[in-house]
Amino acid sequence: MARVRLQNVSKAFDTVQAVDNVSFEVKEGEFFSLLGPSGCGKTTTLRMLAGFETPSAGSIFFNDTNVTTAKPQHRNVGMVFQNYALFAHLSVGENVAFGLRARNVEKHEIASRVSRALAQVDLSGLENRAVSALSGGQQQRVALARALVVEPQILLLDEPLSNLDAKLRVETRERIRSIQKKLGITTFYVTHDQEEALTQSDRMAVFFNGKCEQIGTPREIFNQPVSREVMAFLGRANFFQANVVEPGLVRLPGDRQIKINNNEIKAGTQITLGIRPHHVELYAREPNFVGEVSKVTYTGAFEELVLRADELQIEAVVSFQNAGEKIQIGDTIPVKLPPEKLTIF
Amino acid sequence: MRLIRNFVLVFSLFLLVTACNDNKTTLVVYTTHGKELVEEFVTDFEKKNPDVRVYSIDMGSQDALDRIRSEKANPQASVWWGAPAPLFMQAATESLLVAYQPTWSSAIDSAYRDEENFWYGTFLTPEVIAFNSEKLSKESAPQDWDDLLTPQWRDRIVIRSPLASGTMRAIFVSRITESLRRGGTVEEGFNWLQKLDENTHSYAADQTMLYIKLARGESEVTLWNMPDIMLQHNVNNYPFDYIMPKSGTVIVTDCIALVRGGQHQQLAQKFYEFVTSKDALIQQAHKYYRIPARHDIDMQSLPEWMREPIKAIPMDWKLFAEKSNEWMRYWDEQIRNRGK
Amino acid sequence: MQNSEQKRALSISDKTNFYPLRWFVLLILGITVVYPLLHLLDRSTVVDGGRSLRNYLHFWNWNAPFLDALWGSVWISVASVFFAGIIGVSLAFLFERVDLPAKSFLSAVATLPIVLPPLVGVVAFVFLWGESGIIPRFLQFAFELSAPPFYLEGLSAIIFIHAYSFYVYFFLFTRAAFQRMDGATIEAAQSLGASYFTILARVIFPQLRPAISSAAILVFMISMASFSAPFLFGGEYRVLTVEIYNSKLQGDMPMAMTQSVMLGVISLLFLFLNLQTESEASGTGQKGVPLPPRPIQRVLYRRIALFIAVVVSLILASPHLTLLLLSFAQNGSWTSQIIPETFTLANYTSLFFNHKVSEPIMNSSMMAVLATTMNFIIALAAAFWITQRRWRAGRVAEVMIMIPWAIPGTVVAIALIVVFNTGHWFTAGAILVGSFWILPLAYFIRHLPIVYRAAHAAFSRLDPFQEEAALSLGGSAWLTFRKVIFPAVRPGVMAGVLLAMVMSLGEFVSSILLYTFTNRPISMAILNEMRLLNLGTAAAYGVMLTIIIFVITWLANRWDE
Ligand SMILES: Nc1ncnc2c1ncn2[C@@H]1O[C@H](COP(=O)(O)OP(=O)(O)O)[C@@H](O)[C@H]1O
Ligand SMILES: [Mg+2]
Repeated sequence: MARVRLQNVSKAFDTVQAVDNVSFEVKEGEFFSLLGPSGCGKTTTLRMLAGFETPSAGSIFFNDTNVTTAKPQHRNVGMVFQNYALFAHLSVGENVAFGLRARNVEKHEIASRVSRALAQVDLSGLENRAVSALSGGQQQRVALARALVVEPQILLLDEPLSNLDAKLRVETRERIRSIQKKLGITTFYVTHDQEEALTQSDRMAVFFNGKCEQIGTPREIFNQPVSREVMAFLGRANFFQANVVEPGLVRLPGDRQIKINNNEIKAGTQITLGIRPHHVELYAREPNFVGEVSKVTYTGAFEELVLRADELQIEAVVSFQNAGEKIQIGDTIPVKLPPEKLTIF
Repeated sequence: MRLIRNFVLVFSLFLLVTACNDNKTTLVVYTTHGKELVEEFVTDFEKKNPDVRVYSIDMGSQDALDRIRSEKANPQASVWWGAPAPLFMQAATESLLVAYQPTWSSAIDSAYRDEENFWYGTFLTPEVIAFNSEKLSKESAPQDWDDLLTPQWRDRIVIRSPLASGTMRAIFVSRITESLRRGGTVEEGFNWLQKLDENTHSYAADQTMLYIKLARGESEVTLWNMPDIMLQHNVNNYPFDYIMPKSGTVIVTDCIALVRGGQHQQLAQKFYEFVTSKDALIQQAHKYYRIPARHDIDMQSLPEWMREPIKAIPMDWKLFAEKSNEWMRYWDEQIRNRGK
Repeated sequence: MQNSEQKRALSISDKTNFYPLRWFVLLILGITVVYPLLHLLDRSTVVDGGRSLRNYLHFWNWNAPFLDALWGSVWISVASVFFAGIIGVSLAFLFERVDLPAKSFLSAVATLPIVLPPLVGVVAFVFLWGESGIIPRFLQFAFELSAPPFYLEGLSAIIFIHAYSFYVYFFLFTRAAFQRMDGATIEAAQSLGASYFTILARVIFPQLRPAISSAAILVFMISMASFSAPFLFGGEYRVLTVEIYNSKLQGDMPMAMTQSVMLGVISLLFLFLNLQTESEASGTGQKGVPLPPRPIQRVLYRRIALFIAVVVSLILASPHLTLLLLSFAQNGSWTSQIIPETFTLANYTSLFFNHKVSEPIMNSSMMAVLATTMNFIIALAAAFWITQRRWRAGRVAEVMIMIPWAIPGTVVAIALIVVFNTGHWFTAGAILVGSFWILPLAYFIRHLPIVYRAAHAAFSRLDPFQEEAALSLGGSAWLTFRKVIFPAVRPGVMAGVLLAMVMSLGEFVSSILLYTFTNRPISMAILNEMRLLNLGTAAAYGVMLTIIIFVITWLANRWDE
């Protein structure tokens, strides 16, 4: 199990700056997610950890060893590829045994370790199957077993769930997490799905355009995003342009004044306020303003509303317990933006 | 691993096979005399020389010259047995041959040998008018060269494409030299060839095609050499017969020579002597219709039909060697198929 | 800071490289492919020791037959494309659009021309359709005519053979395009009220066009390079390949070289055309629902379709059947009869037990194995570096490899004669002309593109992450190549290797110019048996070659699946 440190790592391809001056440190046994939209440099970062790409600048340390230019064979990492990259001409057992063979492990030991690894992913007894005869979920588990059987010091997973259907995804996600916890292996998990990252990570990093925008626990990142992009990427959010009238008080478009929990910003500053729909208080006793319902979407457990107040447009959520009667377009609802829930950028 | 194993396997197989051939001396002979004749003498020679393996490659005469020329830098053959004299003359001028004076050099007419011993004649091969004997008889077939030009034979003649055939070259060139000899011009000779072209039904790409076309009656008449026609008649039962042209015919000297730079010259000389010995020539005469070029062979030992002299038209072989390429090219460019 | 290009090369160097071998590949290609051709070009401009274009001026002299030959080649090629195209495309239509009975059998029959080696095929045609061939004779006999009603000869024969042998390219290419085609586009057109012919012209044909035009260019190239058909059947008709052979036979090497250069240049032009249309053809790659064939409802039509199918397959199989029949005929027994009447097994027993007869088989097998092994090594290495390692010099290597694909065998042979008539440092001073090695070398050069293309395709399909997976599991470079990369590409590569092997076994075009007594191949043995009128033996060789090719092709297809 290893500690991993990236120090000012950059990677450029021709004209593309795929990874731009990224630094972070991951503790032993941590489950660390790399989250960000497609093309932001997550895979490239992971591949630099695996040794398939060499950074254009910066260094990578496993524990205290500089592995920046070490060959993939010598890093002892396990990687699960997005498309699994199983060896189609080998059986399930041979796939799993590949890393052990490469390490010249003795024959009888190979057999027992392979069957143990397969048991771990609930595929006992499938050693002699052809990989093409397995379902997508099973293939995914073979890939996991293959990566884990060599007892790597870190485990790298590149969007491991993206080829599975929705139901399997949750199940597999939980399996990965429980195995990881049991082995206590340092794990890097690349995903573009914020829910995946939020639910299972110990800590996570959010990437945009090759830059690492924010690092922290899921809770920190969800609740205290450092930028509008991060906030938007992690879930739905309302953003408003606002003007600070006096410390602690801002003016929204339409000359509506609301309070904020920050008294340090000077009057006259332009700021952006962000608030998640479920934090918008409807039918508030002390509303900031009244909004007119312009759209209602029924989602089962909730109703999602879009409210208008002049040029302001606000998304909000109503659970049925709160809604006394059926909400219709044109209804007017008192709205409050609670200061403690507002994020200021 | 399998890959490497297979490779080793194949390679050792290869070594094995090459090794098999190595315990005997190999003598390579390029010949035009046909498998039956050659194989008989090769086998006899190998029997007499058990440590020798003779590779005889049978091919067309022009082929043989071309091959020896191509391989000049790295000669493969040691003996060249068979092909008309002009080809040997050409080879001698191109320094492809090595001089050798056979033991019987005094027993041959100077017309049939090279002054500098580069080549010697073995057989005298008359060119004849051949025909399909199922379709024509000795009487109804054309009797002389000029008969071929009459309208009666229009589209009934097949001709072996002369560019690659020593036999056909000799015949064609002889029509031109005949015209010159009678005080005419080269153009008159070409005229004759042009008229023949008009009567020609098709040109055969090779000897086989010629035999097939004639045997199966696609065409009834051709020009070819007598021994081959008789051999096909006897060996393959083909319905062939021939007419010796009344006005006389070209007699081509089939020759033998040693190739310059060929391996095992001593052995090559031995083979040379073996196939041109008196016994060999007599056997070749009986079995393969070959008229010996040596004049020291007892007439009584030769087949009866050979004893009467053939009316030969004299041929200037020097002129032939000089001009045949040019004339043939002219024919090819200006005459072939132009009359139709 | 280093620039990114260098960095990229560095990151690749973390993978398997076998670096120095790259230069070995380039060296081999340079020596075997580029140098002989350049040398040929160089020597063709030397006249009497000085540099001159005299050879070329004679070539362009309007009265010269060489120009006839050039036109002859072009004209034959155009006609071959036309007829092969009509046959191939309509057969493809028939197979894809009509629900024919016994379809899988028929489609096997439709590819029969592939398993007929070039020389053998032509020989079979001579016996079948020639002036005294089985069919014209039979018709003459059946209708009591004084002469055969028709027969193939000269120009018509060459075009007939080409159409028979080359329609397969149109057939296969068009079929593949049909299978790539999205059936929904046709249904969309139908729902928009288009008539059948509008659909054909506006929807179906445009989607087939890239496939048809690349088949057309390919067939044009092959026809230009075709030698056996004009050589045996041409009679009076001149084509460039045969002219080159004749010039060489006349000892006129300068002319042979000049003609070779001309033919080579034309062929290269077509190679570039071909590469262009090909990238166009593969560009339309979106996959759709394949369109189902139309069932034939009426019983009468079904019968007619079946009848046509039977007739067509009989015609397609007729050369093979002719060969089979002749291979049992006693040598020299077939003269004026319609078909041979005395049969024997001797032709086959001599193939195995007569040393002189079996030797060419040994020779050809040996040379095919040697040439193909080298093909395998070089093509695999080049395809590996080009597809997997972004080898910059790889473009150069690729062009060098593809050149022999365009250059006719006759030209390759002439170039080899010109170059290897003297010793070189790379042959350790040995003169290859007249030696055993010249033929394997020629086969190697000629069939390199086949193996390369197969290897290239296999590598392109290879999932790049497989290698990385193996490396990250701790596999060494060599282990990864052996256990992961090679097994993944093996089926495709082996299919190419087998094809090259088959082509080497039956190779005729360059063999006729290069063979010597130590390496006389099967094709030359066939020609020689023909020369000696041993038609039975010649046919037996042909049948054996055909069977070998059939088995190997079948194996290759199975492996490629
Ligand atoms: N091998 C490469 N060559 C050139 N550009 C690349 C290469 N790999 C990735 N890129 C570019 O780098 C950027 C980041 O890619 P990647 O790390 O794959 O993003 P992500 O995995 O976050 O979707 C993208 O713009 C991509 O196009
Ligand atoms: Mg990615």
